[in-house]
Amino acid sequence: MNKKILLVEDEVSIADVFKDQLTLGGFDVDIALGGAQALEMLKAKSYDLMLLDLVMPEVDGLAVLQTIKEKPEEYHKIPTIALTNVTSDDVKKEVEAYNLKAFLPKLSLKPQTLIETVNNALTK
Amino acid sequence: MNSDSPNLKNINTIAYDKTLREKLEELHNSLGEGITDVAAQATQFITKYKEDAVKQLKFMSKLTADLSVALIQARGDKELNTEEQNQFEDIKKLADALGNLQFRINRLIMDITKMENLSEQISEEGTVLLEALIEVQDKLRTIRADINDLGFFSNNPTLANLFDKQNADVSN
Repeated sequence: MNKKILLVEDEVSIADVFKDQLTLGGFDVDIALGGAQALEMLKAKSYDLMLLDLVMPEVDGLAVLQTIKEKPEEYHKIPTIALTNVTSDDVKKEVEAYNLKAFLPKLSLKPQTLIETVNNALTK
Repeated sequence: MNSDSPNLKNINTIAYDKTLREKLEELHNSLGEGITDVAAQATQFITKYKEDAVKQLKFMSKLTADLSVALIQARGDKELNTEEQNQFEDIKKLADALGNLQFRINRLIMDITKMENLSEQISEEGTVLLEALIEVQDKLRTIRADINDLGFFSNNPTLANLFDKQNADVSN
């Protein structure tokens, strides 16, 4: 049975690119087009891993991580990989406090690296 | 007031307390002209600021997304030669800078939204306070009027005259 991944990305064009890559890698992928939608989907369905964009309007990636941490009665812990153009060390430090499995730069990411990182995160 | 004058504060220490009355009036004015105005101005300023920031963020998001997709697809899984790698790094630097800026602007917008909510709350709570204040002032006026209506002062023209004067002073 394929592992289920929740891909949280507010830009449809980017979400589609990564969904294609992950599907080719053998994963079932659902897309959430924002933080609020991601939180709803996490409540409704169980996922093996979340790929999370950090910059999104209203509820951004950090807010999603904060909500999951602050409401353990509503959300299960889920292995998460940040997928973002943000490279600032300050932001990375802030995000790493949530024990992310990896921090992937969207632009320099090769499909093979994406699949390998996801597989590693799932087996850790 | 001479030493023979009745001390109306003895009749009701609250309703006839001049300092208390003045403070209530002061609070009334500051709520009407000050606090609610400040909250309204803050909301106006915040809304305008947020609109500008959101506009910029949307523009940048679109630009970064287009750039990201173009770059991801152009690169694919292939090995780049030195020239391509240098070009890729140049564009990536630009996209990184955009990404970092986007994150900060986005966080700023989220903070502004929180401020907006806070400002609305101040405005709402100011209105609730003003309504409560008006009610208290009205009740105190009624109490003073009720005491006046007892009419025992009217049996004494000197006291009645004195009372009318004092009553006029407290009627606001």
